[in-house]
Amino acid sequence: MPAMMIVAVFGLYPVIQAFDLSLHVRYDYYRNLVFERGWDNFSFVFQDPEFRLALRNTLLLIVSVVPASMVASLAIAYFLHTRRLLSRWLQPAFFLPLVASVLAAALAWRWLFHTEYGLANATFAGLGLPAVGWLTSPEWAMPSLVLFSVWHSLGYNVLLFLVGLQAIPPQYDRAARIDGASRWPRFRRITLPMLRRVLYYVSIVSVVHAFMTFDEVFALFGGERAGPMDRALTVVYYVFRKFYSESEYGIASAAAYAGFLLVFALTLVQLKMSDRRGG
Amino acid sequence: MNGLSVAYGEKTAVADLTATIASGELVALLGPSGCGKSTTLLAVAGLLNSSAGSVRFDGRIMNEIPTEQRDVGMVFQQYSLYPHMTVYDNIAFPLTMKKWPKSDIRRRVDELAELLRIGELLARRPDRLSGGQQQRAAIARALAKRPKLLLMDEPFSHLDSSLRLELREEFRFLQQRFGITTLFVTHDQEEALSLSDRIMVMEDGRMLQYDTPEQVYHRPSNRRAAEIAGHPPMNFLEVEGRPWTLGARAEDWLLADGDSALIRGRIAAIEKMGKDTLLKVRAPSALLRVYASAEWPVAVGQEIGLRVRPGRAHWFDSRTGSRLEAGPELSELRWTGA
Repeated sequence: MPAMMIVAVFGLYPVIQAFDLSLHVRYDYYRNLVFERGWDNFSFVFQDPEFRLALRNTLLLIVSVVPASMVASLAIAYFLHTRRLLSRWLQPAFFLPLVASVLAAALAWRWLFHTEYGLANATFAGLGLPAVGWLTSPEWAMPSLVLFSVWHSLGYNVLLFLVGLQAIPPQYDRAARIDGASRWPRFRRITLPMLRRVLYYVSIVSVVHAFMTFDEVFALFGGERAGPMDRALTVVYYVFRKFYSESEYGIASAAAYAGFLLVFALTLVQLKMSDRRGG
Repeated sequence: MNGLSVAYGEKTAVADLTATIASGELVALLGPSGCGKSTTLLAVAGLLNSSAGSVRFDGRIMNEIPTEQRDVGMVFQQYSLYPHMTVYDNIAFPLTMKKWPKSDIRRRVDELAELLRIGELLARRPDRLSGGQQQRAAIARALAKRPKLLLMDEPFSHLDSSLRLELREEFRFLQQRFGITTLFVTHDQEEALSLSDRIMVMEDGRMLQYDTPEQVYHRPSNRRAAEIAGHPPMNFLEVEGRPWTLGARAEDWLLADGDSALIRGRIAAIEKMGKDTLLKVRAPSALLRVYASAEWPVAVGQEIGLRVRPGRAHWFDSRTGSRLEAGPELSELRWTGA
């Protein structure tokens, strides 16, 4: 019962309050007076081109960052797992994103992405490619954000995959070698299926995390707007701006709810998939 | 195997092992736990690197050949079936890796499933099988690709005794019928003696004896091999003043009275083991384990005289433990402690 109370007070109550707030059409937020309730906020949000951009960007982040980060972190974790000796030295580097604050990391990446002095453009120049306005040109805002988000999620995902890999008893790999499976088939047919639970967990957490993308945008583009011409606007950033800058509390709540339902639906689909595969 | 050695860091787990396994033979690696028998198996499989010496299959040196290409099958102690695959997929896995056509795989898996009597279980996952069924499936998987050499690491040790006996006999039948060259690790001397064509007795990473079960049992090449193969362990008596040890198995003793007795002792305990009666006889120099014949009048506390059945005495050098071909005259000896 005490646990139920805590869930009710800290979990349910704010959720219900926020939903109620999203229905407020004419109200006084500070005196908690509501003159009119309705679905106007939702219809506004869905017609607002800014929200549509935010939604599109957020979905783009989910479909790009989640798979990219999962593939990269699984590859890194597998590498660390199979080469124990080398991994002693390399491990700290891969866990750095986990412990570094987003702000500190973004500061470093702002230098990496600097149009004139950044390492990214220096590399491009070395390859004979033209310089790119990573953080200054509208069309590069999203790719930069994706890169940064992938990097930032690596540490946590590598850690989870590493734990998952270490939990697989080694005799299966031995048996597979006896059965004539070389490295890739062993990974594909034995290791990967046995990691299934971890894979589902990481994918769900990553989707939720990608949906929540806000601080990465805030820190990477300096906090004044969501990238050049707002091109890296995300749903949470949109909510933040409506709430804090524009004091549109009802609209902010409606946007938050719309986004929440979207992620909720995605997560349900993922859970269904993991159920069906016997995860 | 030629001078095969395996080392873990500073510690040598297997030293200078040389042996040849003839095609179609079943060879048991017998020894106490930690004697290096499993290590030897893993080195033959290529799952462990040898530090010296070589492993050859049909004369071809395998040291540089990775496990995947060695063409060996292996049955582990337990829990080695892939848990996310059905029994069918488990058995088919080595064949899939060899890129066999689907129809050939089906035929081979069905054939193996019938031989090992797991035809009804092919659609199940390993966690829905009993321990015996799991080992049947594991044997089927190991045999699927018709390996040059089958390796088994105590495959029956986790089964209860009646099942162990049943599966063991079935396996031996298959092994002989198809002439599967097998190297088999066990710590169970009875298993080794009853199942194999030859036994390699090991201790502390060294080979003590490599011979047929009959030879290992009746002509152990040294004292430790005599102790490891055979249960209860062989009895030993030390000759006073001379570097000789007499060994005699529990079933090789006869009652003797008066001067014909080699040694006298008091019966300390009587164990009835079905058809056999095992006596523990406390003699001044040793505690002897002796099987009593039905006509022996036995009671705890009774004193009896014993002699060794003619031709069944084994002599060992007390210093090196190695077998002496000619023993001294039995009648003239005194035992230490007597």
